[in-house]
Amino acid sequence: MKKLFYVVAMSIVFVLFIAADRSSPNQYGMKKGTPGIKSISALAFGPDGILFIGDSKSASVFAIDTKDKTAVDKAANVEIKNIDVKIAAALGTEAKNIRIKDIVVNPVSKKIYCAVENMDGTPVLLKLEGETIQPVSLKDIEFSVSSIANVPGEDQKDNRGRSLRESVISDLNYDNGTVMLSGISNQEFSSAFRVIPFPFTDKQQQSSLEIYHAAHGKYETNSPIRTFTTTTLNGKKYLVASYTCTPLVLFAMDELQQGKHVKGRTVGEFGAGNSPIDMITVTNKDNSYLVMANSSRPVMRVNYKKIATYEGSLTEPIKESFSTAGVDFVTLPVVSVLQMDKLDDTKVLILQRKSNGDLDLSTLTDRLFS
Amino acid sequence: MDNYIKTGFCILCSLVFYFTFIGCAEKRGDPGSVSIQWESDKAVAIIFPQQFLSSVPKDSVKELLHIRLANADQPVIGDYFFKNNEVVFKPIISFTRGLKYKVYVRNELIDEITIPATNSISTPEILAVYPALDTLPENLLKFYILFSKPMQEGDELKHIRLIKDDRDTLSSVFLDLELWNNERTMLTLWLDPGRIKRDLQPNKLMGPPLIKGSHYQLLIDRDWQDAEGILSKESLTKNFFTSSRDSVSPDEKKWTINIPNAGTKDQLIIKFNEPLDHVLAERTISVINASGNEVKGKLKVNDHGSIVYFSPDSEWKSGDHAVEIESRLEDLAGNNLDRLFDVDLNEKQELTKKIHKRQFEIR
Repeated sequence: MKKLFYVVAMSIVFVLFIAADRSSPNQYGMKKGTPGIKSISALAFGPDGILFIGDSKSASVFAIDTKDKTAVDKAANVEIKNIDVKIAAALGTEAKNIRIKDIVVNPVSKKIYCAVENMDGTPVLLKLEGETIQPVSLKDIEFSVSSIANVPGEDQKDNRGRSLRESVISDLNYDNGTVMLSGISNQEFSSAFRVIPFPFTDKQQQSSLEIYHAAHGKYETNSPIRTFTTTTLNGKKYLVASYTCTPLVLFAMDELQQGKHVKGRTVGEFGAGNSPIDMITVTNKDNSYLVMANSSRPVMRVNYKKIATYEGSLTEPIKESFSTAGVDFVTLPVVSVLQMDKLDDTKVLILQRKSNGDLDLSTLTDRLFS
Repeated sequence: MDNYIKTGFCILCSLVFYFTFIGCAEKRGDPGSVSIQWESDKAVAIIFPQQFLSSVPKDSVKELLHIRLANADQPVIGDYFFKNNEVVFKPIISFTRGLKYKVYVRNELIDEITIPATNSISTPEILAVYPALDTLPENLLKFYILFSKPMQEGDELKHIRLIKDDRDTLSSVFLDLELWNNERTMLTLWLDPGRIKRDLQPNKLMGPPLIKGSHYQLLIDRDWQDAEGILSKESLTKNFFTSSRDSVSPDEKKWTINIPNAGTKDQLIIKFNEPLDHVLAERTISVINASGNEVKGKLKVNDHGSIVYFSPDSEWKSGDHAVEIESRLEDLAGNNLDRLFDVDLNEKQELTKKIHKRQFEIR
């Protein structure tokens, strides 16, 4: 009898456990299941080891719980030569058949996460433990999702399937309960920027807006944002964005509201013939820096204090060829950086194409940010 | 007699073994060796027969059995599972055709397997380049390149050149953006908007990418790789001449609409007064009936992007109808129904609307 009671009790506990496991959302509203991720265009870490995945193909942002939340204060320097060859070998193919789409560092555990795409478009999420490459499972995990296909107030003329706007997520960031992403349309020349509160809710509270910046105060443009980050200047939150030809533009975060025509202030022109690739904020002792990687120029460093005190907006065209204007910046002796993220408070992880063609993962030390 | 029985028994055993062997071989090659599992022409897994792994305890397969790419010293990552007394190894991405993989048990090489190179005979081809016209405005914003098969992303600009007046290969004319549609069959190729947009730094420094009154050749090289790794064999040249700048937004009020009769399934024909963006025209125009519902049918845009043919699925019903156009429809210079590509802040701006309408009546 005792044995029967024990078996029944255990069965109830087991059933309750399974039920809780399957249907109860966690504190971020995530449920267990398999997210149908079709592509990984951009990655960004949120709180508690939550990783946001921008999926251009399914026009969605996924939040997955990596359960990787053991806090580490300082990260060891990372030096991995030929990372593309090593990742390709771990996937059973050659480097020419894969593309590294994004690399981010979990700010809690300081572990490196890497989005890779096979030549047939299959997306893969990997985690680096030293030089060991491990897959991050995207099956039976806790996740939530927010669709960016249809936003209230936007045309929803997709009834024949032909009005669906295809766009590529160019950058993704998380800041204080908000997921932000910039998109580049495949067809129209436009800037799509979305602000989505996290945890995601069924009610679509996300905002879709048109962001303009006025070049030289004359012609307004809503060209697509290539990369962006957020910062606080003089106690106010700002979105710092950069575009092709490298203008640096500030937008007040409190103005980023649904349907608004938001104008930014151009504070710097960092050079024509170049596209910004990645942008991060590095804080070191008393200084906070914007660090930007570029397609045709070296990594640039801008002291936020200089941005904060730069009151102007560029209104005059630059006279000298390929020169720069606006807020002062420093060019770092680092070139051909394709991806960049903060490794810890003082170090920056870079994916760099070397002059011999190798693709290496390495660390920029605080020497460059002091 | 005993010897005869022994010999007979041996022959019988051999025959049984032989037929068992042949039976298996018909099913899936040599039963003693590994085999490839195919799905949609992709090598998605390697299957190991039980006898192959007889020395490996079931619970140690993951630790003791490894597959490595030839010349690589690290194992391929993937899942191991058991199926019908066989061990199946499924890598995260499918095995690459034409590559050789080595099988190790306890770090000892015990077999090699080569994934056959593709037997696909269909090489990728360029189906169309839009705009298809041979005279284009000097402030043309983009080209679309349509492929017959899904393509591989990366290094697109290495395959594309723009040559002016048969002499100069132009540099920095395209935006370094890889914009494929979801199926990766259509690439959008932007001419650098910074050079087109008046007064922007690149425009001031380098001038616009195209100049009025010139002949250009858009050269698209062969050797583009499709998603299966197959290279395109044909290159393509598009010749065009540049005309004046287009600084006027498309205006639906200037379009001509040929209205079909009620009770027929005749085409509704919308003639633009200028060529428009072919791909956007296909996606931004719809026909609405008197009750405000969309009329189902097929919409086709001619190659030049100047005429839309709409064929209804059912016969037209008499009454008021409308052609609805999303304002994001652009002309070849990126001017849409609501705004110009270059918006001059000194000029008065009109309020924008998301949907434009042209009413018509079916009788």
